[in-house]
Amino acid sequence: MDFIQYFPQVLTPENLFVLIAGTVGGLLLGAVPGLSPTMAVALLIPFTFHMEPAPGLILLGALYTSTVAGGAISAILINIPGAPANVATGLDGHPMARQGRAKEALHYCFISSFIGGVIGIVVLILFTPLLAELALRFGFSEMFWIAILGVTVIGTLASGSVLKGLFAGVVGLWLSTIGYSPVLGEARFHFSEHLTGGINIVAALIGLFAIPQVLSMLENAGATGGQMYALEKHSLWASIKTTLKRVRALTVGTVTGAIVGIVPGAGGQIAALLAYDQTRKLSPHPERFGKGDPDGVICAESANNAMVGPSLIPLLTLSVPGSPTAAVLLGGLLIHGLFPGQDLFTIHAKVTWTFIDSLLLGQLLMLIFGLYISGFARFVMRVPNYFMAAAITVLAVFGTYSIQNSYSDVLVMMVLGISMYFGGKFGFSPAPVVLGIILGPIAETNYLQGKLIAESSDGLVPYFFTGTINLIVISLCVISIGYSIYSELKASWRRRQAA
Amino acid sequence: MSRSHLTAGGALLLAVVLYISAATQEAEAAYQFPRLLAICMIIIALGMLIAAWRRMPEGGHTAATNISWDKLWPAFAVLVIYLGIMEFVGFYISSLVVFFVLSTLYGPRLDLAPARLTRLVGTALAFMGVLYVIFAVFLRVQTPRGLLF
Repeated sequence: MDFIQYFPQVLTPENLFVLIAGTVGGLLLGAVPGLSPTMAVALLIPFTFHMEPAPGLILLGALYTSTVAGGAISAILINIPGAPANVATGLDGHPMARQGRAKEALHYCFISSFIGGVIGIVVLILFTPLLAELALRFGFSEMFWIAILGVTVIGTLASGSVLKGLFAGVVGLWLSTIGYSPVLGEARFHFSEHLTGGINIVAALIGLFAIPQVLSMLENAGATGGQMYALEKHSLWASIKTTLKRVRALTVGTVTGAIVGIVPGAGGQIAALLAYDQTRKLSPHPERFGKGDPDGVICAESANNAMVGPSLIPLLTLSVPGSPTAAVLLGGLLIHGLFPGQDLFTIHAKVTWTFIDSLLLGQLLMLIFGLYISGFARFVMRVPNYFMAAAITVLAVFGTYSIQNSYSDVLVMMVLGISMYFGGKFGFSPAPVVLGIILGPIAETNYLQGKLIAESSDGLVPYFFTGTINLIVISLCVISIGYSIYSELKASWRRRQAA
Repeated sequence: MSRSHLTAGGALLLAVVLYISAATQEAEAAYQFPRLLAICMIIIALGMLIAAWRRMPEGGHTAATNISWDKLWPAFAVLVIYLGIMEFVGFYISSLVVFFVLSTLYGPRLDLAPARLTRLVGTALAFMGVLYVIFAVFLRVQTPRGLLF
């Protein structure tokens, strides 16, 4: 049992320090409205480059887990979610705060996050090695379609518009072709001396997520947060007993989060909202939801933390992230020279299992620190937008430069970021672009190598469009596009009926 | 012409430009994949145009929103100047100046009272000090030094 064998690695002083720092930092960063888990992880990736792989990944994993939980603090106290995944939490969490039950809501939040998170990591531990072994059967055509599936799913599910999401994903794939052809070695699109090295993945991550957020913060620099409610005294033991009695909310939240997590591209917001909706429908008192029902907080938070572990399953085995933040984590894996697949569990088993075990221990630390620093997070939430924007700008430039000591990376980061800001104003989302840039080389290399084999055997169509795995993956691409188009058309028809 | 039409038209124009830039290269084999991607972009952009012409309303966060040029032009100017001076002046000094300028320009009101300016300078110095300790001292990350620091 590898996860037991490597568990002591998490307890070394260096790894434990990084895990605690990542957990506490993530809780505080997550509580700041406007600093999403995706952006926090993207900003810190360059700095982990200067660390060993294991502590670097532990830091990123701790941030991923705890920023999602930390975002509930601002959702409950000031009704502004710290992350999209916390929108559902605020629906009942903030009414509880208005009723003088803020601390009780925070207790339910962290206890249910812990329970959901642990179950999610157990799912990760059980299913990842199985899927990694299955991935050995993937040839060039299968890997090409897996890369296309990743871009397709995140383009259709993580964006509000199917066509814009797909367009953004293909733009990302195109951006990855700048530089040199991976198979033929020819220079491509060297419009400027700054593009001769291609687009660095981490520079793109930071530019596409951080710079648009900086500009949005400056646009709203004058906005003030909502009223913040004080924390009352409330028994932790009573909260634990209440949470454990709410079996329906816990079960629906955890199961929904785990299933949604495995679906590539879906993410915490979808998990939490879906769990909230299902719990309300199954509740004998649905009218209490939205007015301070603990079930609302418990199902949402257990779902968005249960999503974290399973979202790493397709990431670690097939390079297909289960959420936008997991897409950014893929960048973190790649800069440490760790490529998803069977090698992670054989050649790099020590690093991989140490990382997975740290996620498990991180759930406990998130519970402990979350319960006790919620009060301090209130001060962090009050940092003005203009200070946050200035700080993120400096960190973004610093982090980008530190990757390769290259000024060109900083320029590319800024150009991509400003372009994405304008793209966002026209309804395009950064997550598909990022995934396109990350998966582009995988898609192209496997396409070209598969094409060479196909041309010397049966031809392109039989090679790429036959075979069980190919047909399954192509079907998933078609289903995700078809389902998203159907949902959009249905929503559009409903809006017309209502108008 | 609505914003949706403009968005779709802009996407189609971008896709066509990218296709032309890939199709007119001598090393045809190396540009095979980019050409294929540009064709996919053209098809998707045509789909967006058809959706815009059928007046399918956009919901949620994909609906286009306005750009506050009057609020943001100082930020764009600061970013451009930051990139321009960073390598000549040095990373820490230029970052300190940018932090201070952005905080002053976008504060609650453009207030140049000595007390507020002192507080802003102090905050900028404290932030850069923490960055220096963590990254230059502990992580030993190299930064552009330029003429100053």
